[in-house]
Amino acid sequence: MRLLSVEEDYLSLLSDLIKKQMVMLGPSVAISKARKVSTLTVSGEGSVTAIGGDPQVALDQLATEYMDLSGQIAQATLASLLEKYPNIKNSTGK
Amino acid sequence: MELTFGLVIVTVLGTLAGIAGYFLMRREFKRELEINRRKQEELAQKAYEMTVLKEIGDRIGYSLDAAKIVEIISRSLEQLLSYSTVSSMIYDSEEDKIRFKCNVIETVSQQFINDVKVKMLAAFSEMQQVPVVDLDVDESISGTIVDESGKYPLSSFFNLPITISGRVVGLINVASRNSGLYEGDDTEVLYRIAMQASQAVTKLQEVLENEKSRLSQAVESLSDGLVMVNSKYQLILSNRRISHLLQIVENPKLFDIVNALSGSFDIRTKMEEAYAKEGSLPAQEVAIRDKVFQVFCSRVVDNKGGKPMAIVVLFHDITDAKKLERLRQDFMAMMVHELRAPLTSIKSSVAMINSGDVETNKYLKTIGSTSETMLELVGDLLDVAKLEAGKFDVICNAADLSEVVVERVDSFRPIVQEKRLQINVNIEPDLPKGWFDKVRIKQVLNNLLSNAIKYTDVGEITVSVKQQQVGGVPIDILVSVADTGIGIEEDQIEKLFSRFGQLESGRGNAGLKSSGLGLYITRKIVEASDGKIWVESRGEGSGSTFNFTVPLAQGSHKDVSDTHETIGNFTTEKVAQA
Repeated sequence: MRLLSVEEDYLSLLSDLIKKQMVMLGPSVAISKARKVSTLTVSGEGSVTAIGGDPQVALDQLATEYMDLSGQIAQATLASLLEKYPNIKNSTGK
Repeated sequence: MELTFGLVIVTVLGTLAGIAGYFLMRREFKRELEINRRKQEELAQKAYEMTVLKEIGDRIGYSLDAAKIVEIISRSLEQLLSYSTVSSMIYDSEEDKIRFKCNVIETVSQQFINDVKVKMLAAFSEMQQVPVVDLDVDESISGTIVDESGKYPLSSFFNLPITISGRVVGLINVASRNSGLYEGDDTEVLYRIAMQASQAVTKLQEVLENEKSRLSQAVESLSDGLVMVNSKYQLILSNRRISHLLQIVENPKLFDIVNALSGSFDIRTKMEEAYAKEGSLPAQEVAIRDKVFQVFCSRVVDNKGGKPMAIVVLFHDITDAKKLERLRQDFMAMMVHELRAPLTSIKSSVAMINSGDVETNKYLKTIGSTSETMLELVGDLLDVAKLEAGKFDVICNAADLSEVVVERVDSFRPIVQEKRLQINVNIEPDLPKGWFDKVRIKQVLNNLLSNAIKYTDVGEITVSVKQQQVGGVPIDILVSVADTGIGIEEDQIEKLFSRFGQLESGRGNAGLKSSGLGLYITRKIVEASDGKIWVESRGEGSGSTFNFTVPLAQGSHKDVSDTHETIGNFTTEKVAQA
């Protein structure tokens, strides 16, 4: 089994978060919000294909964008996703 | 030449600097303008959000009903953006069902609506972090006729979650058959509005939860057991005391309470009665296992419309009080018995003694009349003791009431004459037979006549007996004892028929000896005979009229034979405990 690198972890986590938000809030809103994080390259299917800066900062920004929309729901979703990625910390502080 | 060239260079550079400065200033000006425009737009958007939020707030009021909140926000969307359908999904925890409502604005296919429902279920599952199955979805569709051709697929949608205290209570879906919608800031405004509405409701919920917590603590500290159910007879509140009193589990279900009361108290029927009736039901004494409770049942109504919302049942343990009461009653009954024998002996002995000496005879007469008064008092106390013990029998038969009245009036004539009063009897001719206990009704007449004589110094006493009719149909016999005596103040009338009523009413202050129990016993006898008793008086010094009714033998009691069997089956009635 190949171990994922931290960067791959971030790509996967960010993609999972966007896809979950697509299911919860609707695809247009979720992708539109994700694309507001300038360092992320997001496909039409909600996959993050590249991170142009610090992935942790991008994750925090994306989480904040979604929390602006759905508050505790987005927070709970991220918390549940982070359980699958022990190498990544939840620094949203919320 | 060089000077000229230098001047040209300076002029050109100056011009260029001027032009550059102009463009820089223009750019700065434009930037400022752009910032101002954005600020204005933001302000306009904020104002718009505030307006919509206020409107939603006004319509929600103080409701914590998730369905109502979702409904109101859904309806408010019409003024904000275009869509083909707006749908809501609520989880009804009471019925363990999901309620899906879809309002169709533009013609769409059934498949479109199904897709919306599936998307919403998926969103709901994801938000709840538990799978929500499509099995128990209560679906309702309203609005424009659904297109069956299927040419309009679901192309754009978004979901608005509604949360209260961090819990998702509902979901709103806005969907369109047009693609590429709901990406802009307009949609985000809605999320902000929904979040603010959720926050406002959450705050209200917190306030209510705090109040509820205080109430719960108060209820928990009650020494009485308390049960509260809602209008659907679902248990919403019970305290630890009820579990202790009924010896059931803590945090019981309604079934546990009903089961514990089974055979002793039909709580369900009582709650239904209380729900249908204004105010509280009369307190009821209920024996459960080795305990006796006084049970109070009343409905809770809302402040605005007075609509019943819940029913409260309170169990007050009176076991110890009952034991004490029983001891007191037994003691009183024993004392009364012990007093009666020597008093009877004194009275009989005095009646037989004739000393021949006038002075001695005068003293003997005083002893005789005093012992007679004391015997009457003891008799009243004995009757009350029997009433309290539930041993006071009223056995009704068909009988002629006029005979009893005439006989009683005749027995009082000597005393009436002694007081120089007049007594009249008016009996309606052809009076039908009544249904009453002869001995007890004599007791009633004795009491009313002796009172009338006692409280009248001048004038007359009139006893009337007649049938009462409603719509030409005889219903009962009315007996009235009217006097021209001291009368009764209006505010004292109600107290007269209570135990020791004369003491309460002050009628005993008329300087006349009385236990004050006579009218209480009289009322109990009349009521046990299915009759009514009441008094009329125009006030102090205006005399008074005591009325009571006796049921007709025929009509209310079809079988008028006075056989033992009839008596055993129907007519023997123990007067309720006081």
